Amino acid sequence: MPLLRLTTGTFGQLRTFATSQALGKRVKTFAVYRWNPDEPDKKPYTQNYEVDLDDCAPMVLDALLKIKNEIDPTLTFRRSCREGVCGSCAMNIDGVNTLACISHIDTNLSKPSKIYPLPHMYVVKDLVPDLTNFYRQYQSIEPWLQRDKEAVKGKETQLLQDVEDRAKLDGLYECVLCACCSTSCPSYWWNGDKYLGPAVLMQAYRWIIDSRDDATDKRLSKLKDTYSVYRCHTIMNCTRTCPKGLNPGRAIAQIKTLLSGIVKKQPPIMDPAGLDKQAAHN
Amino acid sequence: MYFRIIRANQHILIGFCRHERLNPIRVSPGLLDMVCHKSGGGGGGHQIKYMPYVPLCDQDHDHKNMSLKRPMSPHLTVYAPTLPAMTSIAQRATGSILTFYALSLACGSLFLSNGVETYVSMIQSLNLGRMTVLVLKIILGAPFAFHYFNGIRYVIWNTGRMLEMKQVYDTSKKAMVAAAIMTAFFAFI
Repeated sequence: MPLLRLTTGTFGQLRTFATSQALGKRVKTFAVYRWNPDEPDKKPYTQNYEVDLDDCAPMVLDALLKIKNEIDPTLTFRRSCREGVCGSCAMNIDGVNTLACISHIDTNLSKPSKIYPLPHMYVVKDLVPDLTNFYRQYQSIEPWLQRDKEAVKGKETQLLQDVEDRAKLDGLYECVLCACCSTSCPSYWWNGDKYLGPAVLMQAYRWIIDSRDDATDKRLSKLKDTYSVYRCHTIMNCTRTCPKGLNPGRAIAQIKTLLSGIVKKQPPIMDPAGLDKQAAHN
Repeated sequence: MYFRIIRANQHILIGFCRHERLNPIRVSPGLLDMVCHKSGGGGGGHQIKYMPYVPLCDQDHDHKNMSLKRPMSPHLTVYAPTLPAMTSIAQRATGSILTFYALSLACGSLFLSNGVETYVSMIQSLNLGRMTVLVLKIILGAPFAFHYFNGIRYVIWNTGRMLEMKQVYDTSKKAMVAAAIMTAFFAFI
């Protein structure tokens, strides 16, 4: 028994010996965009940080947290759920917008990983962009269910929706509004004040085709101008970059077909107010 | 007493907003809605006085950020080029070139006294080498060929089809191959 206890650690020791000595440390450099609002006249710059990958979890967010905890506490970035659900840690990593928490650190140690804030956005600090305009645009499409006859409070009944109609919302409702797609779009870079951008337009489409929503015509007529939708030139950076694997580019194309009248919104398979009518009938 | 101080500060803040359009200070609406006065005598309790709602001095997004001297994060210089984006910009470029062709041909036939044909025969009489002619034809024909085949993709996309990422890459490659064949065809006729 003592012999066993003596030998248990040996293999572990051997392993650490092997990795640390034979292979050497796996040090990865991260080039991170920095700008401090307290020194507004100082130009933005990139700062290099070195992280030992053997002592770090696999995602880029883990490396950023390690840098913040152990090297430089002034490094500023948004993060929350660390599992791709909240959309807070959206940033430009090695030239592509993505969520830092679900993108693996590139293990090629020879070149540094470049980390920038979301492109063409005003920077609040370091990797934190000002998303005010983005949220305001989201607000402008009125992202909630609108009925001709709004339910009376306290007397709400469930709205009915057929499985097939519900399936139309798949691939749209999953969006976490991380703004990766909008900020990857060159059209949104140049016309971000008037063009709504892929993320917001996909949500607009999500409410337009909802079988329970009655405000379809109002929603569509609001988009009928030269900027809101038609600045989309199908560059498809949005779909390529979406960390949730959604397709905003296709959603915009579908809005365009609805706007031009090639396609009409199908009437609901199930009457959404069916339960309400049944209750009134009884 | 404490609330009076807050109130005084509010007036300063409102003053800022009214007078200076570009001032970054934004007053929270909750702070303005209600003001409490504690009577000085002691034991009088709280008296609540409601103030009219003062709308936020709403600033233009750009103005606010510029007044804070916030930089624009890098975009074109850091974003990785993608094949669909490149075909898109190439479509724009070739479209401009084709417009130039059309305009110069139209202006030529309108304003040139001898017509365009004279100039074509002038170029023919230069007796350029075979290779030079070939290269010139490729340069002239490639924009048309690319714009034509890539344009078909846009027509399909506008009907809401072929917009999966795999299809987008696939069609862009096919359009380029077709454009190359057509350019070669143009060059050899």
